[in-house]
Amino acid sequence: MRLALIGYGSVGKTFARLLYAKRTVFPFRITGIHTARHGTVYEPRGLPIAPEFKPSAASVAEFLDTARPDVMVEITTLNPETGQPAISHIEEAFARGIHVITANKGPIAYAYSALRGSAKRNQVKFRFESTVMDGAPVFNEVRNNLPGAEILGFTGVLNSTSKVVVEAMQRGLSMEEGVRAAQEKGIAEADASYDIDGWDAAAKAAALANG
Amino acid sequence: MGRRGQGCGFGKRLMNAGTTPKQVRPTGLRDLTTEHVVQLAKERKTVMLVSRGQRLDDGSVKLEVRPEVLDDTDMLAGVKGSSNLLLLHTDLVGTVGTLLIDPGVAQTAYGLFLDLVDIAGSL
Repeated sequence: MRLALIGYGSVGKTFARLLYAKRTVFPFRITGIHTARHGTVYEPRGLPIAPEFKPSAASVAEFLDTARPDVMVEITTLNPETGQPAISHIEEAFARGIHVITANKGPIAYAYSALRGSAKRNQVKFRFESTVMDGAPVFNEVRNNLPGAEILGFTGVLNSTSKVVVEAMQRGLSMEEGVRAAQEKGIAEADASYDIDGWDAAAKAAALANG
Repeated sequence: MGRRGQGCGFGKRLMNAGTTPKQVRPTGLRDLTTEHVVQLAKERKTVMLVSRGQRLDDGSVKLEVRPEVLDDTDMLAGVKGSSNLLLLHTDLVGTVGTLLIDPGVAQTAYGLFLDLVDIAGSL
């Protein structure tokens, strides 16, 4: 099965290492990677974990038409206001009959109904397990392991930064110092307002409700 | 957000709400002060940003994200640092929980792998 990755940050590289480690049992191949920062690279026989990038493809459409994958893995940076450009990337893949996996909660939170309809029309699969619980099975659990059960509701503590901040405040530190502690742990973004104001948790709640 | 989609079993979905984060209108932590948090700690309580979803009788889904004061003995209050907990409330098996301890990029990458294997197995 041929994979094309849109985005290749720390998650993408870790994913590539995981595929390499499991290649004898799960013969998946990354045959194309497209990034805004590093450029684009193709190799039908399968790319190494640290490929040599060439100048960027003119568009995601051009990248997909050249890479011709079975599955596109969308792992670009989240725009919390709109879910773009990930939503457009996913639509480009669906229009070409390509299955999509994303770790990006924006498309699920903002455009899930439309994307699901598009996936159905194009007879492709759309999966997004990493969007809410960092890869712990939630959607797969409901889909595959809870036959007949109706989900009446959910309760969750889904935002890491807010917990680290409150734990710092319990030690007498200010909210700003708590945010810095979360940033030093690599949990919070430079602009932590997305976490502190509840938008990360809201996006995850919307993704759960929509999924 | 009408009642939709739990129905036929195959291709089953979680809640099928058709909502957005803006419709959730979350309340964040901005109004929280250190003095309040320290006082709560002395009373063996804590504050956590809790997400809740509930299917209502008319089939719609109500979502809330807001800070809640919890006793230290509350299950949610035991989820520390970067760990996450999700409880799914169901009609047939009661409440089912998923706890992930200190997730990082390895866990996110595994979620992609899990989806990939699921797709490959479904074709």
